[in-house]
Amino acid sequence: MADARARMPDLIVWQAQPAADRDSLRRLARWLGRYGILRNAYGIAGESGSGHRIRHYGLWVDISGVDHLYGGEDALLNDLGDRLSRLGLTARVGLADTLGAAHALAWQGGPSRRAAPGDTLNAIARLPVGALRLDAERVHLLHRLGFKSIGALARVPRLALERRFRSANESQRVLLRLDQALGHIDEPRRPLVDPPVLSVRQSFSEPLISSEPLENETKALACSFCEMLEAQRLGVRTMRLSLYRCDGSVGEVVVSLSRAACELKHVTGLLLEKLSSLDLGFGADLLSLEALATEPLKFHQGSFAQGREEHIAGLGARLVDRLVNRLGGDRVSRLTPGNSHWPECCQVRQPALANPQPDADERMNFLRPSGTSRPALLLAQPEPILVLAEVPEGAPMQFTWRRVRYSVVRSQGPERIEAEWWKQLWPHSGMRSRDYYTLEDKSGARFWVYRDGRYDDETCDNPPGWFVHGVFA
Amino acid sequence: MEQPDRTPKYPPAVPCPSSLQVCPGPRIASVASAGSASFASNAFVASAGAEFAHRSQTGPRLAPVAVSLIENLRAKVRAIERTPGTLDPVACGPSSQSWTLGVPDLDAALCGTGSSSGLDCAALHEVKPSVLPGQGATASWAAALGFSLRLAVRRGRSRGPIVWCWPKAIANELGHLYGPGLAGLGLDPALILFVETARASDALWAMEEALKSSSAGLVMGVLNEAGLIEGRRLSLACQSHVTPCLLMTHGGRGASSATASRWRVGLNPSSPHRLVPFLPGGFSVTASIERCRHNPVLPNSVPFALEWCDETHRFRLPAALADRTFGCRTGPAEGPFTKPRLARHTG
Repeated sequence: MADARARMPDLIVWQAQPAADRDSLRRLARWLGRYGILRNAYGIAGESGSGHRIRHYGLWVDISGVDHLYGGEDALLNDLGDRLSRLGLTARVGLADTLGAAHALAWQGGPSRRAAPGDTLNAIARLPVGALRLDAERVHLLHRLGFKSIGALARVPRLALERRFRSANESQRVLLRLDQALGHIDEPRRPLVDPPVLSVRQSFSEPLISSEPLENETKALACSFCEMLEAQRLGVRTMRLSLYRCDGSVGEVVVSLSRAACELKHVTGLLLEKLSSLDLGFGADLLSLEALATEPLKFHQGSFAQGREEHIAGLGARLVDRLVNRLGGDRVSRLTPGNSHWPECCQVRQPALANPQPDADERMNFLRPSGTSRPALLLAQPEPILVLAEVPEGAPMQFTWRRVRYSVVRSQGPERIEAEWWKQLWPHSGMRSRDYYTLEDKSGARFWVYRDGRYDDETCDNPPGWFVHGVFA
Repeated sequence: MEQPDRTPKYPPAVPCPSSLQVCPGPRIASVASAGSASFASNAFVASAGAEFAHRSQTGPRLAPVAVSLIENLRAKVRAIERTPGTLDPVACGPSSQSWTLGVPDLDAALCGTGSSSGLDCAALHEVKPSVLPGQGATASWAAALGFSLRLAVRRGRSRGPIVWCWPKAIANELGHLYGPGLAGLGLDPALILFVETARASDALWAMEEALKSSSAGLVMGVLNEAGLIEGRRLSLACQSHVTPCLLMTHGGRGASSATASRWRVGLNPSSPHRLVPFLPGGFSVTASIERCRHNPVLPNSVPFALEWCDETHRFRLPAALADRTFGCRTGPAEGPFTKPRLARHTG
C-alpha cells in the first residue's frame, strides 16, 4: 500500500466489503425481474476470502419468450445496458443459449455480445479460454498447452485432452465448464424466487410518482389478472405485487387468501389495502402482479339450503382475508382442541388463514370431564395470589388478587389435575399436581383458583403456591 | 291546497331518514311556523310522526280507508328499508328472525309494539357492567361478558359464526376466551373467529368489516369506550346488513343515542345449587335497561334479576318470594368449614 501510494499520491482506497457486494448484487437480481421471472446472482454464494482466486460472478436472467416485447434480443440488450448505466453501473451484458456462453460473451465478448440461438460455438470460439470460468492455474496450464481460444479447445478430441492433464479430475473440471458453455451438459440454475403460476405486468413510459395513478394501474392490473385466472379456472391463494422503482430497487407485498378466489372486487380490495405500505420512492416504472399459489376453483351447486351455507362460508373467508390483510396473520385466530387435559394445553389458537372454516365433522371436541366447570376466560399466565386457606386440604376463605381482597362465600373443589406421566418423569419440569377450586365471592364473581402442589407432599421442598387461573363469566 | 301547510323547512342534515318519509305534502315552508326560530330540528324530527297523525285525523279530505292504506304502504316501505337485501336469499334466511332472552314478558316488552319479540336483530346493543365499590375491574367485566356470551348462546349456532373483536390491552387483562368454558356455556368454540387488534380503533374497524361481510351471525366487541360516531357507524352497518352486534364497554358514557338498547349488568350471588347449597350455582345478574329504542318507556323500570338456566339455555326471572309472615324461617345453609386450621401463604 505504501508503495502504491508512493507511485500514485492521489490513490483512493476503499475497504473491500464482500457482504455488501453480495447484498447489492442480490438486490440487482431482484430488479432484473423486469426482464424475466427466472433470475439470480451466481458465483457469489460461499465466497470466502480466498484472495488469489479469480471470481466468476454475475447475474443471470432467463429471457425465454421475453425478447419480442422489446423488439428483438438486441433491443433488449440495449435496453438493459441503458437502464444499468442510468443506475450508474458499469455492466457488460452477454446473451447466449447457456449460462457459460453468456458469461464468456459478457466478460470477453467485445462488440459481438450476442450468440444467435443454436450457434453458441461459433460465437464463443474466438474468445480466450479464460472466459470459461476456470481457475487461474488451469488457464495458465491451458495456455502452456497451446490452447488460446475456446474454439481450439473444443476442436481437440476429448480423450487426447484428458491425457494432457495430470489427473482425470483436472481434465474433468475443464471439460465440464466447456460442456456447460456449449450446452452439452445442463447446468443447474437456482432462480431467486420460485416461478409464479401466472403473472401480469405493466410498464410505464413515465414513472409513477403519486399514489393515485398507482391505484388505477393496480386496479387495471388486477382486472387482467382475474381474467387470466378465470380463463384457467384457477383461484389465487397467494399473490405478490412488485413495484420496480427507477432507482433499481423493488418493493413487494405478498397477500394471502384463506380460500382460492378469482373475484375482481375482492382481489382489488386486498391489493389496494396493501398499497399504502409500498413506497414509491423516486417513481416506479413497472408493476407486476404474480400468483404464487393457486388452486383449481371448485364449482358445485348443492341444495338451496346448502348453497346458502356455502355462500355464507365464502363471505366468511373473504372477511378473514380482509382482516388478515390489514391486521396481520397472527391477529385473527380460531380455537382448536389441544390433545391434552392440562388446562393451558387443551386449546390451541390457530391462525384463521391456515384453517378457514371447520367442517361439521372436525368440530372440536374439547376435553371437559362431565360434572366439572371451566371458566370462560383463562388468564394468559396463572397469577399468584395471597390466600387464607385450610391446610392440608381446603378451599381458600379469602384471597387477594390484583390488590383487591375477595372473601369467599361459596366454593367447589378440589378437582385435581395432574400433568401427563411422561411430563412428570422429566426431573426438573416442576410440574406438580394442581388442585382446582371454583370460588365465589360476596358479589357473585367466580374465579378458578388452584393450589400448585400439596401441603403433605414430603418429596417437594417448596411449599405449595396459590394461583388464579381463570374467571367465570 | 287550501289547507295551510304547517310543514316547516327541513334542516339539510336530519339524522333520521325514516322520519322524513312520514311527512306528506309539498315541502314548502310557510312563514307562520317555519319562521319561529325556536323550532329545534331534533324536536321536529321526534314530533314529525305525531304531527302527521294529527293532520290525518284533522284532514277532512282523507277517508279512513285511504289512511289505513297509506299506513299499510308506509309499514311496507319501512320493512323494505330495514332489510335492504330482501330479494337476496341470504338476507331472507333465518338471520332476520327473532333473538329472545327466553323470558316472555321481557321479550315482549323489548320490542315495544312490534310484531316480533326479543332483541332487534339488525341493531347494535350495548352491555355495560355496573361497577361496585371495592370490586375489581375483572370481576365487573365478568358480568358484562357473561351476560353477552349467554345472549350469544340465545342467538343460536345455526346463524353463522361469531366474530369476537377486542384490543390486545383488554385481552391481556382478562385473559383469552377458553374453549372448554365456552363449550360448557353452550357455544361452539370452533365457530368463533377471534380478532385481537393492537388498537381499539382497529377493533372497531374489524367489527364494522365483520358486519358488512354479512357472514357473521353475531359480532361481539369488547372495548373500553365507544364514542357516538363509532356507535352510529356500527349501528348503520347492523341495519344495512341485518346483523346484530353486541358491544361490551366499560366507560361511563358513550354510544348513548346510537344503540338500540343498552343494558347495565351487575353480578348477583349465584342462584342456589340444585343439590348442595354451599356450592356455586347458576349465573345470575341484576340487569337494568338504560335505553330501548323500540320501547322508550322500558328504561324507567326498576332493575330486575335474571338467572341463567344451564339446562334450557334461557334466562328466567327468579320466582318471587311468598309472603312468609306466618311461615317458619330456616337458617342459612352452613358452610363446609367447621373449624379449619388456617395457613397463609404467598403465591
